[in-house]
Amino acid sequence: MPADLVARLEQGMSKVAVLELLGPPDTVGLRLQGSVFIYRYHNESDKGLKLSLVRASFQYETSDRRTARLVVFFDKKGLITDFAAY
Amino acid sequence: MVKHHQGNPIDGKKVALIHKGTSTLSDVLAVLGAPLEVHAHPDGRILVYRYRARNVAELGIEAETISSFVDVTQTLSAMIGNLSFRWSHINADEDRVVVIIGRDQIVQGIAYREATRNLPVF
Repeated sequence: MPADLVARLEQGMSKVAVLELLGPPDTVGLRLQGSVFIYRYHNESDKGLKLSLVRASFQYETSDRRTARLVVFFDKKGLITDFAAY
Repeated sequence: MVKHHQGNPIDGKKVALIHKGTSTLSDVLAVLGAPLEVHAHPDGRILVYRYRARNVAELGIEAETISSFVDVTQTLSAMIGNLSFRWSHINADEDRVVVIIGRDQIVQGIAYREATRNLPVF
């Protein structure tokens, strides 16, 4: 997640400005009093090792899925009311 | 090695034809085609285009098979038994275009993310 860009978000910023700053969101949603953008920064990696010798076997698998997310809430006019990152 | 692709490829040159403040909803549909998602918001509409790519690389080695080529007595093969090795790695990402259309049907904003062109295979 580009922390320097997220730091530039502020209440009252327009939806268009957020789009130009952070790029296209992963998810677009509608909420009761406006709308929401959800950005997900996802890194996925799977690796596995399987060893078998005669009747003994060893299997190792690692799956690394990391997701950072940013949620930006907009009012009916398309202006930021709240945002949070994790 | 397996490559999965989901959706229609997004042409960056076509995306560049869409201009904020002047292009209309009709222009967007004519240039980019039908979006994957359409969201109706209080301040207009949002169109979303997606193209997903997933590369799966897998390598497997069975020692017995390899040793049988060099060991005519099969002694080594008997000793190794079922020794096998498997390695796999997955890379996945998505190209995406999001277009904000105002209530006047004019493009208010557009953003394009290209991520699959240089998606690693291994």
